[in-house]
Amino acid sequence: MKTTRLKAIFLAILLLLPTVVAAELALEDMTADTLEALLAVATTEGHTGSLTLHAEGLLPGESAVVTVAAIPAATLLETAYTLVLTGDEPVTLTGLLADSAYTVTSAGWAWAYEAAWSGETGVIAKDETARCTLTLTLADRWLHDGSAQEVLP
Amino acid sequence: MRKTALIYLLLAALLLGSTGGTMAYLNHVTERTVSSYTVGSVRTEMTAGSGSVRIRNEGSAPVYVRVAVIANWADGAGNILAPWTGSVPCDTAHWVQSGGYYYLRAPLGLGETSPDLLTAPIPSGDAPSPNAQFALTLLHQSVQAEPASAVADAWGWTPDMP
Repeated sequence: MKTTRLKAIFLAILLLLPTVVAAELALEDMTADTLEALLAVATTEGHTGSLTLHAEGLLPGESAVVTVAAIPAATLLETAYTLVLTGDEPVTLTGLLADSAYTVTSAGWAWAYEAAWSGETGVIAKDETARCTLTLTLADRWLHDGSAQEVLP
Repeated sequence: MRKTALIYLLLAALLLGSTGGTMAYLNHVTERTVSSYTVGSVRTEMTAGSGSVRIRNEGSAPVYVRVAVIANWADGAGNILAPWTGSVPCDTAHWVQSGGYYYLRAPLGLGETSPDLLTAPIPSGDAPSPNAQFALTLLHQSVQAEPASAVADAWGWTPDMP
């Protein structure tokens, strides 16, 4: 009786083995990019929010550059954005995965200002817009100039 | 009594005379020193087009220059959809990339125009979605080249950095 059971288990393993091996090979063939894309599609559909960034206190014609790092809880794959904030015009990032942890940091372009933040870290909620404000106070020591220009490629 | 008064008057006249002479002498030997200085101005203009980014020094002092190339994929309303992940075709003989910005290796003199930052148009690559548009912003900054500590203090960059 015992021998019969062992034979049955052995046969079952033999029968299932090719399927398992085939599945493993298929996963190996799948590139990291493909896997990332599949994960993104699986988790993005109707499950996103936004982040609006705004700078206050910039002199006319001057800009601040900020970076936003967003890490979705579902994939842990970080996406990094670099944005230009000019004047009083807010910039909105859309399509961020809900439950993404985000961090906004200055990229050092507005070196002539002292910076104060609000909402620079947080978590994206589904169908909601998180807000981050960068308040700048002029504190330059050196003569300087600059400009920003949108360019058509 | 009258004699005494006369002596005092003579003494007073002598004192006044010597004081006036001293003042005249001092006025004669002391040159008037006027401190004057001119405040330099830093003013630079960027000329940017497809495949070309140049900076011209329009101010009255030599400057260091840096450029930022910021690109994203955006929808028609300007909302950012995805970051751009391409590379910038940079003239590395005259410009150096450091910390995400492009620095002109040498100071830009009065009235000078920089070498072109780009060696070719910036390639947008493939859009991540049908409604995504390539949004490219070029920024430039300049800071006084003298004293040398100014650029290091302002940007945390020095010309000898790789």
